[in-house]
Amino acid sequence: MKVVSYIFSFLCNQDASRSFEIGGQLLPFCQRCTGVYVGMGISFVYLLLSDHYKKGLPRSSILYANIASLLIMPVFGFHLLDPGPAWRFWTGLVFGNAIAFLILPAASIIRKEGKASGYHTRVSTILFWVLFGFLNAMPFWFPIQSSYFYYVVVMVALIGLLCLLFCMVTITVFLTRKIVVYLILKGFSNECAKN
Amino acid sequence: MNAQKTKKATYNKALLALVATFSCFLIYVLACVRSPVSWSPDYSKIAILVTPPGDDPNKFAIFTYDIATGKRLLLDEVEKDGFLCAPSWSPDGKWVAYYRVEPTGQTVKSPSEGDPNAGAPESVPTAAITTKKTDQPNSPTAAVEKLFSEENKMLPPFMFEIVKEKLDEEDKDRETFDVKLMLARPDGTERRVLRVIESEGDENHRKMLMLMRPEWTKDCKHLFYDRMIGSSDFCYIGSLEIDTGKMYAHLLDQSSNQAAVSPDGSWVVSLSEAGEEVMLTVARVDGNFHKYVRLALNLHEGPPAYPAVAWFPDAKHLLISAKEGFRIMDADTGSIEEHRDPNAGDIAYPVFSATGNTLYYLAVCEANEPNGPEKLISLKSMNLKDKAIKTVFALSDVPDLDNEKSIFSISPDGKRVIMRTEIKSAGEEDRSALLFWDGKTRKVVETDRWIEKPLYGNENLVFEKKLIGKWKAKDSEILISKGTQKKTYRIISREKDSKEERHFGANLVSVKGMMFLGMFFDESLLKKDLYGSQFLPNFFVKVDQIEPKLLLRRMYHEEVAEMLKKDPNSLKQETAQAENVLEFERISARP
Repeated sequence: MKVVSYIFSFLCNQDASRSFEIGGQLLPFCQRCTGVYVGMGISFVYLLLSDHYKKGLPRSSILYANIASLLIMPVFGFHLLDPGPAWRFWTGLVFGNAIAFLILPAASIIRKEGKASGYHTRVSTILFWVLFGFLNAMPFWFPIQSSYFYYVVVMVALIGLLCLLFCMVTITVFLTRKIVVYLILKGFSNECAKN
Repeated sequence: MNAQKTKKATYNKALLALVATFSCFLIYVLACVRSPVSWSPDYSKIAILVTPPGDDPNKFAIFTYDIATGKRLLLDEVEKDGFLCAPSWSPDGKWVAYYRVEPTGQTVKSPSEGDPNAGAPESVPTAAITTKKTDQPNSPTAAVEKLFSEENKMLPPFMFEIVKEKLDEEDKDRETFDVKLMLARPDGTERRVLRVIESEGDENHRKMLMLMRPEWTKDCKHLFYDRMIGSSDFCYIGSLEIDTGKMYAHLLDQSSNQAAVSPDGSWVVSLSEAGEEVMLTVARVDGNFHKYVRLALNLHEGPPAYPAVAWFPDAKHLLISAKEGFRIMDADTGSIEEHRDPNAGDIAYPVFSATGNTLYYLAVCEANEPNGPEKLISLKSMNLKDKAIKTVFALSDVPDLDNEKSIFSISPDGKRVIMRTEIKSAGEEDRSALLFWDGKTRKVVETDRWIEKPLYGNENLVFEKKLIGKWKAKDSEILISKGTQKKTYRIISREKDSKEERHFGANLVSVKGMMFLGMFFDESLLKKDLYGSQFLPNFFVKVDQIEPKLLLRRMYHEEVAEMLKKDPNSLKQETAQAENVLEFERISARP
């Protein structure tokens, strides 16, 4: 747990008074970050299992919900409003969900140079809203006071963080390679033009 | 062509979504990391005042101590008749605040109360001050004004003036001393004098200050302090706004009990004993509201740092710890709820968990074991929602509970209990110690050696083969052999007609032409460590002569330090006149 705590110390203030205590153990991230990383973890797992991320960016209704979820953060995240632990957790969850639903499809499209496989159907939209509903309901019962649940939460949060890092690394490598190839080709064509 | 265009548009949209989303995430992370953190989120370190045992300590030092690694760091120290108080760690973990009173006769320049530019703290390496007798027959009011320099936020407002006038009439020849409100970085990189606060009182009042501590607001912007107005036996609670340097007076406090600041920083509360009752003063920090409540309670007899009153994390309720049990008071309505542990005789040292859901406390109950201790102390937790009580763990081998100097502390994660007390060392002497319990282990850390400075180093170590052997005195005998480490001895002493043996490790040291045995209660203490502890023996034995007879006399660290300062010629005379010399005859050259 020390390693996990160390990793999250770069990403979170780890304020103990604003962190959940599960089964007698304090989570290594604050309540809002718990929401962010758990929200990302659940959403990434859903997207990867359902393959919906390959179908491109979400439909406009989902997109608007995602943008609204991202915009919530300046209000709550910067403590302009701070109504308590459940709200902190909730804002984190919807923010994490939006991050996953935008970043994974975007990464997939960029990786495939604009090509999406298939289309979003009504079922995929309904499934999103079911997931969104589940995330919105989580603050009502979270956390379950059990040491097993503590490890589940840490695991899901780690999955969320690792998926995000994987997306960013993949895109960075892909774009870097593309830029390098472009520069080499440009150099090569300039040489040809000179000759 | 259209497909190509669509692909490009989708690609651009995806790139935009990616950049926007990642930027949002990055902004969030930066905002989260930048917002205030609580100190030691894993509660692995403590800041502690260390003093030698006894009622009249002459050394004070503040250390941070890492419980797991045992590493310690000296933040500040003072000797002679100076004082340091119990330290207070800021909620963001960046500072440790404490009071410092300099030894008599030292004067220095530091940000004082009258200085308008003194708001932002400045580094002051070592500093001020005083214990002085102010004798100002022509301007007594000015002297009193200096004691009441804060902006008045007390209610009713004339209270402040009445106390001032009373003080002015009472005693024009008052004894004052300067108290420095200090800040130190927990990593020891910086130390600052925040303010010098003139206080009034005699030696006893100065000692009282040693047991108090400043208190932080949760946002770390204000520090609450006690200003002693000693001759009238009361103090008042003031606050300092760290950024602006503004000071405010909030409420009068007769018993110098620790004041408590609410988590939102808008209320301050104090308990004082009024006859057989207890007076609770609740005041708004902005001075808009004051409430005095009389309570029929008996407070625990403990030092002022003992948490007699604490705010609930919701900043709406107060927890009062009395002999009768805990009382939970609604700060708005004044209604009081009683809380007892049905299975405990006495409960004390309440601490709220960081999340505010749980209250931890120590419970004392009568033990049922016929051969065990009379009383059993347990760390218990109470769920504040359903009031369910659980025993977290029992404390094993707790030293004498009747020792008035013993004080407990519970970590807010409910995983550790610390006791600061005095224990008997292997040599049957009182030693200051910290005891740690975590439910599985009990750890004892003696702290006296932390504040002692080595009187010798590696260059002073000698090895005399002549010392080795069996020696006999009138009432005792000693056995000296070679120790496990280089240039060390192992010594076993035994009283005549007794089978009980005492084992020591020792160094032979030559300083200023004198020889000493540095005696360690345990040979393992001679091992080299970060702090030079291998040169800090538990006591010394002066070796006046080895042959033909071994002449030894026991000395304490302070006595040797004093001796080393003296002129070598006068020491020769002193040695000849020494009374407590033990004379040993060699029985055997082999140990």
